[in-house]
Amino acid sequence: MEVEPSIASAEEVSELFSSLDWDSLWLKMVSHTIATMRRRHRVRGTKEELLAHAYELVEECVSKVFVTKKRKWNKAHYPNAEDFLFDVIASLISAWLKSRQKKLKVTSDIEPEHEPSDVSYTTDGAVLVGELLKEVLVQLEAMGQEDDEMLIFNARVYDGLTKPEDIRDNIGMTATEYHNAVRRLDRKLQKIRAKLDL
Amino acid sequence: MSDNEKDRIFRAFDELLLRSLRLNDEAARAFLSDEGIDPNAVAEHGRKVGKRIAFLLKATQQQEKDAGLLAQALELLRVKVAENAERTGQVLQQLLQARKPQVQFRNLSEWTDEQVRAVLDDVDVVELMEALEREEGKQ
Repeated sequence: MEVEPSIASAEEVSELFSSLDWDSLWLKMVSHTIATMRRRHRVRGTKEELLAHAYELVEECVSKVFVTKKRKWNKAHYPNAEDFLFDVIASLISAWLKSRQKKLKVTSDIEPEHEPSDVSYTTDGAVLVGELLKEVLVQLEAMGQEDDEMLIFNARVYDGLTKPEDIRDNIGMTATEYHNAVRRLDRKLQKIRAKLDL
Repeated sequence: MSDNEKDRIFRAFDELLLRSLRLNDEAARAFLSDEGIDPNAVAEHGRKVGKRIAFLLKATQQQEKDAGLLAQALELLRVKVAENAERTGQVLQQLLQARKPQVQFRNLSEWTDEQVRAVLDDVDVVELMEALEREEGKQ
């Protein structure tokens, strides 16, 4: 059933800004924007270029939400205001990519925010995907992957879990342990990805 | 099988990383460092942006408050002019004396909203509303 929209008043939006842990949010939004550009949309550019664009986009996002109030916070749809801010930034990134596609080298189509399709091992490509998976596992082992990294890898690939809280519950990790392990695993996977030229 | 399909394995983990970055500022700092970006410089820039946004937010709130007060004053003035245009004109003129002693006007009841607004720019609207309310008390 669709929930009735509940648009936050100007006072509520101001209160929200005062209540934010701004330093933490800023770091999360800037890094998430750069990672979205690099990983999801495969934008190429120097770190300085990407950082400058990330600054512009995050500032545009907070300005539209808190100053001009062009983006309205529907509290019913986003009980967690940070989810709203991250969705606003995602739409701004997509709009930015569309408008500058010719200027920057974008190697893949722009995709809207979406859950990644689960990796399927039951299609015709099963053997090939299986070989690729085997290769990834061999390389991870060669790099000396740790137990917690492997548990996350298995939870994602074999159990099909996508939400951090589900994975953490599944393997019994604290939030900090989880985020650290994801980061270490990511570094290794990026090296393997580059080696495999994917 | 296309590279894009193979790439799905890696993309699945990209999404895990993106979720970590949304949830955890330590992960965000570490990611920035891995990208060769100084997280402290990013944080410092963020503080400047935060201050600017806070300032703009305050200015917008003040603007909204002023616009609300102006609308209230305009409405009160309209009511008072309808009740007693001459006396209301005197009250307004007294308040204008300090800033624009040369201003003289009559027939306030024939003024358009724009003309009244232009005069209100030179008056403390809160003071005007208080003066008009005091007049009401005297009657």
